[in-house]
Amino acid sequence: MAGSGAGGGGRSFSFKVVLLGEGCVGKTSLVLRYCENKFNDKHITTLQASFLTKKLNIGGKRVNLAIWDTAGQERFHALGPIYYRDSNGAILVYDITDEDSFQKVKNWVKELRKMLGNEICLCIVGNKIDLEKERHVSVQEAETYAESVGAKHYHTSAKQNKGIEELFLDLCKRMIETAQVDERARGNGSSQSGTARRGVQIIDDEPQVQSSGGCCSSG
Amino acid sequence: RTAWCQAGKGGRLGQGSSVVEAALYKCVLKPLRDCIYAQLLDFHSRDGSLQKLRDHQLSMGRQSLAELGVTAGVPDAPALERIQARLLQMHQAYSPKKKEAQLLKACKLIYEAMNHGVYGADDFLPVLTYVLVKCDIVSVQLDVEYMMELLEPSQLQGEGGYYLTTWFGALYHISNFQSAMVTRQISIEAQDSIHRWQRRRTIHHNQHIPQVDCDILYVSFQEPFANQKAIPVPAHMTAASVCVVCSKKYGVSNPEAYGLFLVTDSTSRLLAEDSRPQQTRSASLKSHSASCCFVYKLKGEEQEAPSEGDGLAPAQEPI
Repeated sequence: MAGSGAGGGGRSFSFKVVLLGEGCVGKTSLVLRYCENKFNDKHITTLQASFLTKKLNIGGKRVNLAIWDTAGQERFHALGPIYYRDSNGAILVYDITDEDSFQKVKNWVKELRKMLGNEICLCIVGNKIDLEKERHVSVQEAETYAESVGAKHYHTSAKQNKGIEELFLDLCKRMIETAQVDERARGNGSSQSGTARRGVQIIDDEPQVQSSGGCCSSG
Repeated sequence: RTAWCQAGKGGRLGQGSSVVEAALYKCVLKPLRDCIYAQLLDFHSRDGSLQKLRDHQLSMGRQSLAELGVTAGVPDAPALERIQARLLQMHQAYSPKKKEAQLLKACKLIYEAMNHGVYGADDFLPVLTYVLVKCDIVSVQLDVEYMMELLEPSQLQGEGGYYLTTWFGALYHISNFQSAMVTRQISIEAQDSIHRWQRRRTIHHNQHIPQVDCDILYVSFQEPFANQKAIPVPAHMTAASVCVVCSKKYGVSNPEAYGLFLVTDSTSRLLAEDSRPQQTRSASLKSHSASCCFVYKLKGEEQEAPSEGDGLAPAQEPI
């Protein structure tokens, strides 16, 4: 599990991404849209969208995404920290026709920054752009806000499958960057501390080469 | 408690080799399982949390599906029986991994009962809550704790970890049901406990994440659970110093008119300037099971505790 896969190729990353947003903003449809073609049979059921995984290959780097959905109802608000701990990224979804849902996103951003600092990659997502006519959150306001908190803003429509691929791809690139910066900061040399930070696991692609006769590998 | 720690070490040693791990589970955890259950039971009986869980199980059992927030289908009697059978097997297992496998099977049964749609956490959590209320909830509580303590943090990243987290959340939700203003904010007690657990179990927690949650005191502005701020308050810090921090955080222009209050369901008490809020908090956590809240508000208002009762006033402003 130690880092140090020399060169860029053949590396793999595991990231945890948490999905936050009020009920009815369409966060479940969003992630389902993204993952639906890649349903993993090993999941406990293919009929659910609470926990989904996706494998990507970005410039030779393999990425395993685990996407954690959270319950958006107010009554479950306080359970947030147990879900977003150890997350590398957060996708905060609001409905462009619902001003309140945007306020909720702002609260989440504040909370995430307070609890996890700047290491977590934040994506603010205005969903339902197919309902542009009923828009209640201005594009400029949302984008300015996102920039002010170091988040990136995206416009999506789960219904029309717009902007979703870009969102996840971009998020993955940012998380890889963060992981690599972090790895460098730790001194990319030796093994032990390279294991993981906040759930990033950097795994050698090749099976470990036995250096010499395995003395204690008998079953 | 010692037994617990030893078991914890056993679990950790097993990392890396599933054979060694299984063997360790067998020699360490198998004989210890009942002892761990007994100690947890004893611990939770003494701190009152078990009674609270049972009480809330009863009161939530009387609620309608709408009141529980359930929008999907729920398991019928035969399906509930199948789920209960899984939970029994979960309780009998000593290996945390076997418990996890049973927990996932129970989740699958719940999803199957939800009328075959595609469901996210918004739908699943209320149904899970409904199911737990209908089961031997104390055993589930012990099992969830057992797994959360004995599974490696790295093992908690996958699907098993996700659902374990969800069960943990549902149990907390039940524990804190209707204890004042639960719709607005989980009780301080629960938050405290989640933070303590998080601090112990978060991967590399102390390397990069600022230590924000040590000695954190949650203070609300004007009324309980409104505009809550997390303020680092060491044990020796006085109420007067906390007030100074609050006056800046909330930007009040006349700080002399404000004070720090301890508000419970029925009372509101102004803290003396030289008192230590952290001590007050531990004392109040020990003394009554009702939730309490620190509120920074105008001093003239201390006689009138907010009479929101069960606090179901609709949230006017986002927290």
